[in-house]
Amino acid sequence: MPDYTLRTAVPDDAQAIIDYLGALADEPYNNTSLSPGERPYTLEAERQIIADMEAAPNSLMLLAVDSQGQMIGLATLAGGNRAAVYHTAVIGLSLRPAWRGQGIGTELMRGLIDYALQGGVLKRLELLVLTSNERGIHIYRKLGFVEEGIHKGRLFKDGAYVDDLSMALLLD
Amino acid sequence: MPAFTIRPAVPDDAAEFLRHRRMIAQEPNNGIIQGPDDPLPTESEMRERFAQAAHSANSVTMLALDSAQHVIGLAGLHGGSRQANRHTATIGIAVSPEWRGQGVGTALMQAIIDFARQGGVLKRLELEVISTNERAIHVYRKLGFVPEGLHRRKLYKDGQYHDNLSMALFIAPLD
Repeated sequence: MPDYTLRTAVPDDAQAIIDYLGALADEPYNNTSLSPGERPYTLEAERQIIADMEAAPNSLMLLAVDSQGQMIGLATLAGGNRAAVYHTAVIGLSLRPAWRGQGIGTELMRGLIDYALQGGVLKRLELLVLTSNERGIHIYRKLGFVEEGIHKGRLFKDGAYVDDLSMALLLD
Repeated sequence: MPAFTIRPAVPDDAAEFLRHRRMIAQEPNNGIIQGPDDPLPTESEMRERFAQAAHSANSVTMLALDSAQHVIGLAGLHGGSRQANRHTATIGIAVSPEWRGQGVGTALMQAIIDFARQGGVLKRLELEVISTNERAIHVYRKLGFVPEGLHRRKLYKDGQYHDNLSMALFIAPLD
């Protein structure tokens, strides 16, 4: 069994998250909307994002850390900020390459879903996943996410246009 | 036909743009995400946004104006900011109640599409519309948008859940 724990992110994690996302961006075929060299958030912006997610009743940033406290995975639930979409949150999920395929993604997702169920505000969790990301789709299906549509050519990754699959889980 | 004109928004349009946004936000069953209690940007934020948009090839705000130069409709095109999605842009649109059904929405959408084609960056334009909004869906279909998916209970408005239909238009080949 891999040795890791899950915990909520705090603003002082900002630099570790920036470094983690940078490594992910630089990984070829990384299955996210980040491309090599991209560093979308400054330290100050990342601190603010974490603080905002901590404060919002419909958002959560969850980290997976190894036994040394190093970040190995990240899961986010970004809730809507207008009344019509307070009940809807968008999910993001990633893991460091060495930690994939060991059930950690499923556990991070369970952490997000538990938070959503306990908060009582969220009724719809949604995500986009590349249609080629079979491992990701398998996890989401197993947890009850249902396919809602394919967005053709939505991303340009590693020199090719690729399709995104929309999936959603309705709570109660 | 009542006369109206379409043009991109500039910083001096900020106040009039926000007046329209506030009015639409107060309208029951307005068909958009924005509701009566949601915050709107400030006038200075909008001025800044319109100033920056002047240099963008994948984002713009188009205004429809009546003969007195009042805003009667608006459409926003928001392009992705990352290498992976800068060819993709999301569209939002709203027309004043008394001007609906008179071609304003179609003209705004056409202006957005023309801008997107001329910019040379965008390939994919996408939008979401409440699945029961047949008039809007008809406009989008006529312009070539194709349905991509149905997002269940995506919005909660006027005391009930609504499903959103996502649609996309491809303005350049995905090669």
